[in-house]
Amino acid sequence: MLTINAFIALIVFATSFLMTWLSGVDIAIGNYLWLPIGAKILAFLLFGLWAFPGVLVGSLMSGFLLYDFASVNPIYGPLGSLVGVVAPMLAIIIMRFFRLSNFFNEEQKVQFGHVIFLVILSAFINTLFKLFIYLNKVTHLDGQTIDAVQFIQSYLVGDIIGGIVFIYIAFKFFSPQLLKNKLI
Amino acid sequence: MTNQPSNPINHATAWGGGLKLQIKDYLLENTVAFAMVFLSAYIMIWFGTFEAEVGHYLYLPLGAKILMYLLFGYRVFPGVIAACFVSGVVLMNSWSGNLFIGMMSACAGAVAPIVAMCIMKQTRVSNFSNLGKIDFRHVLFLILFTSVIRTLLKFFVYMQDITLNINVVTFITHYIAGDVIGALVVIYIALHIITPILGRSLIQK
Repeated sequence: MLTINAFIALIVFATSFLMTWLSGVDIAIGNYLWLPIGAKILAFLLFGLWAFPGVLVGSLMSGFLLYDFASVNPIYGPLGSLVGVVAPMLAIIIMRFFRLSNFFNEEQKVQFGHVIFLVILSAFINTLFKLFIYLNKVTHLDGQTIDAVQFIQSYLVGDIIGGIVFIYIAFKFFSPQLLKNKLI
Repeated sequence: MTNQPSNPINHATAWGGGLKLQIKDYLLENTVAFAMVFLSAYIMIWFGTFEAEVGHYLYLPLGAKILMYLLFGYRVFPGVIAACFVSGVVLMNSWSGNLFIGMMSACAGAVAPIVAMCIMKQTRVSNFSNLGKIDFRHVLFLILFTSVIRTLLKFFVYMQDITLNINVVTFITHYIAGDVIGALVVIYIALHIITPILGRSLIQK
């Protein structure tokens, strides 16, 4: 499990690192293609709660090393990162509670529709919780306060697109490996 | 041999009769939807004046809208949106003078349940087309999901009005809480009070 968690942390960190190439490092506005949420969702989908340490370490590492939480906001930055970890878990729990989830069918094939819904739900939870945490606490790099409408739009759209893209790519290109390791 | 009317005039009459019946059903369903949504909005004025910045902690119309869409499908959209407009103009004094923003928010309220139901249907997590087979937990989730979508849509609309002094956290939490509680109350009343009464009266007849 340690190896798997280390691998998950590496993937989450790698996707965050990829994000820094695509845009800046301003956490007060979302990225329109946020791949790390897809990595986190997939980790929870494949390994369940066992993936939590790996996802948490990966998120915190990327926060401190790539987004410089310590200088942006030492409390609310990591808290926001924690929300990003908890949101997919909460979405899975909600879907299980309301009997909406059946991510893999009897033939162990992915029900992509259900996974897309999980991504959408995770995006809603992540966006709203992060808004509540960051609002009036975190500022843009230029010192301006967060614009709530822009924040919601960019985070929501970025999480949905990024999540779907990452999971689609993962299942498209790594299905044989996932099947071989009995992960799906 | 197919069982079709041999006379073309009879066939046309039968087809016309069917169409008439469909139009009649359509109008009846939309009238019921209009009446239900308007009635629930009318009840809201007993709870106090409408304040766009805060919302209500028990917002019944959303429950009425969800119920109507569940019962009759998306085709009652005209009735629902008409009720939203009329209740806004008549009961809320044209949204306290903000007619355009008010109408936009009414549209958001009418569209939100459709968006939520469409997302759930397209991703195949639930299908609300067969009312008899719906899992009640799916309806509960639909309420929650619709309230989040409606809140965000209304938030985007109201933020366009610079005269409103909106506190983001208060707005979102109040609207979601009010929508969820209100919708649960309406669905509960419909299932546990109205349905048994209707059932008893039908048995007596």
